Amino acid sequence: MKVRLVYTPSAIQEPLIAEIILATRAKININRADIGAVSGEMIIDIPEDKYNQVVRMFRDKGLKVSLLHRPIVRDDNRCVMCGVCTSICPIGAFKIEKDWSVTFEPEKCIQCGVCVSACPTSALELSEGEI
Amino acid sequence: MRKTIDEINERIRDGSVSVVTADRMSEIVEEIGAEKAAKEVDVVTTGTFGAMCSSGAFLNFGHSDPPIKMVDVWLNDVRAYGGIAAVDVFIGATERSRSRGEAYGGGHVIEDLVAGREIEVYARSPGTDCYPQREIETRVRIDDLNQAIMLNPRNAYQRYAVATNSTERMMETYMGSLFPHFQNATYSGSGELSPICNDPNFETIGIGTRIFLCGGEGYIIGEGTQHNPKSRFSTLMVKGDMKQMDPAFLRGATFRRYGTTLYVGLGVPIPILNEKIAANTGVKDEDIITEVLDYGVPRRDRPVLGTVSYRELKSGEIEIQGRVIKTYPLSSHYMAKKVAETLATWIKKGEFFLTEPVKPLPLDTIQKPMRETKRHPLVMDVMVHEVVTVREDYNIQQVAKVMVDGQITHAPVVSRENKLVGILTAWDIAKVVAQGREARAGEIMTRKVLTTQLDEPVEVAARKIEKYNISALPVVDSENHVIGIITGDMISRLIGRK
Repeated sequence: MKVRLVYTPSAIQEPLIAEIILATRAKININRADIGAVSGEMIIDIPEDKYNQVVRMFRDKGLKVSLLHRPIVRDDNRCVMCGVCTSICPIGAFKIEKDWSVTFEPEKCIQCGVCVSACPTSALELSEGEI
Repeated sequence: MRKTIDEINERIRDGSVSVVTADRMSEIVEEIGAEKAAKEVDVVTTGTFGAMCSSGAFLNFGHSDPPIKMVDVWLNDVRAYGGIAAVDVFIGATERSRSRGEAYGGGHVIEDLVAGREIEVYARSPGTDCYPQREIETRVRIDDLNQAIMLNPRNAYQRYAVATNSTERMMETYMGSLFPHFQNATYSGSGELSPICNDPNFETIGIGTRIFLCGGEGYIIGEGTQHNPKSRFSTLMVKGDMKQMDPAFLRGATFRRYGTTLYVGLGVPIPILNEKIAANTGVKDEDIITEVLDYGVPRRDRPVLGTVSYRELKSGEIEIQGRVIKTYPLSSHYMAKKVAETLATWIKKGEFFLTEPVKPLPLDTIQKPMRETKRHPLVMDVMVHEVVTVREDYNIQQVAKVMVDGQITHAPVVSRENKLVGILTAWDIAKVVAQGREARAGEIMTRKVLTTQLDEPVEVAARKIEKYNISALPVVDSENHVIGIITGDMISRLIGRK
């Protein structure tokens, strides 16, 4: 299950991910990390069975955690099924089907946003996620 | 077996017409042969849905009071051409918005009009005795216009070359993002559904052929620009009434760092008048061959790396020079099929009739390169020949001395054989000195060096310098020996860019 973590300035200094992995033994996969001096954001993938435990620990440390249900929103009125997104997505979340329609697998998406600027018809948008 | 267009139109009228899409026709011809297919099928519908930059529209606004001669015209802040009569303009698909840049352009204005959205009109004029008004600002919808006529000088390319990139760097092109080292290849065109591929000798398609254009009825008005039948690069010039169009079949678009364009849905009905025409519409993706070009070479004649069929392209990967490259479409096969199916439905329902062309399209035109009367300066014309280089094992003091003595800020680093291995700038040296440490040239140099060649146009070298925000390019020969250097300053002196 993919979540977005928003770091607080104090949390940036701590080896949080390592602590939580050691404590929970959850196989957390870091999909994307953008940590600066005073703020930071991370997209991580948490196995379902450890989800509640891991999320609680992050929250206890003061991080904002939001579950990404629909990481990318596609406006079907703008999409023309050209397939440009399939060429640019680094993890293959878009797929061309047999009938040449283009489908999207949200569970794969890491919200890198590359497809958003590459989409010729501006049909894709990053969603903010919610819980 | 021979039919006439009149006979086919009679069948459309009485509902007995037999219509299939071009991809289905390929199967039919294979199953029962062209002779039988010609008996069983009356019309084959084709379709394509791709980004077609050579598209635009003539608009007529009607006269204001007091009247104005609209000279400088902007529609939603996108410049339209006003150098025709007072309230006529032409808006082109690739013109960019003044305020929004490549995010919005002429293609989007056309889409907004067809979708019934209001657009802002701003026009200026020097004012004349007959047209005294000097400025106008208004908002209009398509219904407010007298005419909104799409007129596309070049659409429906028979086929298009495949784009790939040999260089080490990502390229943003009108063929989409091309990853370095041949990591992807992009292609356009609908293959066996493509209108011209189904009638490559223009036995039925000509001036006056009624077509499907963006969900409305349109017409072929001639061969398109750059029409080149001998090389199988034929094109169509088309027109259609935007007031009839359906926004589902056109779309304003932006190719990142290239600019704006318009996706156009276009379908041509092919009347199956005889066996030969039936055989032509039996064309399959594997019969349509196109070249793979290296877009890494920014010149008119890009190197041809090989040829592939649309079947291979649609399979998702091609093999070029022993290398497997993933392929991705830029035009929509899904929508191309929808165009062909919609046109077939219109014909079956008796809503669309075929026309006899007034004149066939030419088969002998060629595409010439531009006649250029002024020679472009080449790197060899402006480079510094006496290039000062340093060796990998030089220490900071030695490099600094070389730079100061030679009054240079960039020093290519070379091997014993004088081959380029890196580059050092005065800034690299300053950094090491600031840190108070010792280092050899080889340890702190930049290893991936962009280079240029003697015969490269200065414009191309300047583009590299600008794009990668660097200040100098070493000039190398075919064996990577450093034979000169060209800097941003030299280029600005020559062609006056920053």
